[in-house]
Amino acid sequence: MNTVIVLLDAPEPWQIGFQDSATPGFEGIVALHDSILFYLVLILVSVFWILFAIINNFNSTKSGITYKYLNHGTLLELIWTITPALVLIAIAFPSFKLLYTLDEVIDPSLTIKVTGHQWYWSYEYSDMLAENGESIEFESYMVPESDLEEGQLRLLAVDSNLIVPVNTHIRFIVTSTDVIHDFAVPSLGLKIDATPGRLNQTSALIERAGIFYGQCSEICGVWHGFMPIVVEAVEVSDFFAWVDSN
Amino acid sequence: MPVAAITGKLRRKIWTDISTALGLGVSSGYAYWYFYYIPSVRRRQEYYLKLEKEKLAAAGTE
Repeated sequence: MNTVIVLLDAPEPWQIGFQDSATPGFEGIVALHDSILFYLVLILVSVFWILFAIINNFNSTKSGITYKYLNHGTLLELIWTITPALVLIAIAFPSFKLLYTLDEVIDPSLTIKVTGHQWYWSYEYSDMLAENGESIEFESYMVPESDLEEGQLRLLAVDSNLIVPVNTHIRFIVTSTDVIHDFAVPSLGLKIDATPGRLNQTSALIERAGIFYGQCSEICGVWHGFMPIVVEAVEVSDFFAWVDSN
Repeated sequence: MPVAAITGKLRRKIWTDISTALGLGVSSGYAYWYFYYIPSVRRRQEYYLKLEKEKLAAAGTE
């Protein structure tokens, strides 16, 4: 008997780091996080050293009246203002560069309309027509715990996955019919508000096949925690086979 | 006996403390970068290359 192990792109218990990336956008986000961590370590160690030096040098056991003469230090103030400013500039430029790069939606090959509802998601493939001449659309509900099958993830599995092709520029048009929801899939670097009366757009180029899990990330009511998102990335030929079957 | 004024401590120590703090901070930052971040990126790249090779090998045998 063959055993097939499917590793899912879903959060793990006690996870601290990021999920594995599947898009260049999320690679960029992780790289930015890692480079900012460099400055974080620098600041942490420097501040702790200064704290240690102050406690050591201005200790009351060394001199009870040292602090009496320490009420102003222009040089010190210049240093503690300019140094953080330089650090902020070093962080800001790569951050803006990434932000504007992620905002670009260049010539997408596929557009999917994502609509948030209380409390489920619906998807519409505006470019693909079903047999009845209308675009392919369906709703995606969480699988309740009582109906879970082996291997399905509690609070994450849905009845209908969002099927998308790999290595294809996909545009997501995101909106809502009732309150503000948020379409978020960590592995794909997607996180965008679904706002009623407004169309937000984002894009993804998924580089590997897989099943990517996300959740609504804007408090939207009592069942907010029960409207997960499952994106299933398949090879292009499999995607068209799926389109044909609809 | 009056206690003499204790002055100039900040001026005398400031460059030592600030350069030690920033020196230690920058060293720790680079230690994170070269001993943690770069090896982890290399491991990930090697893993993806391995996957890619396996995929190509599987496609070749089909």
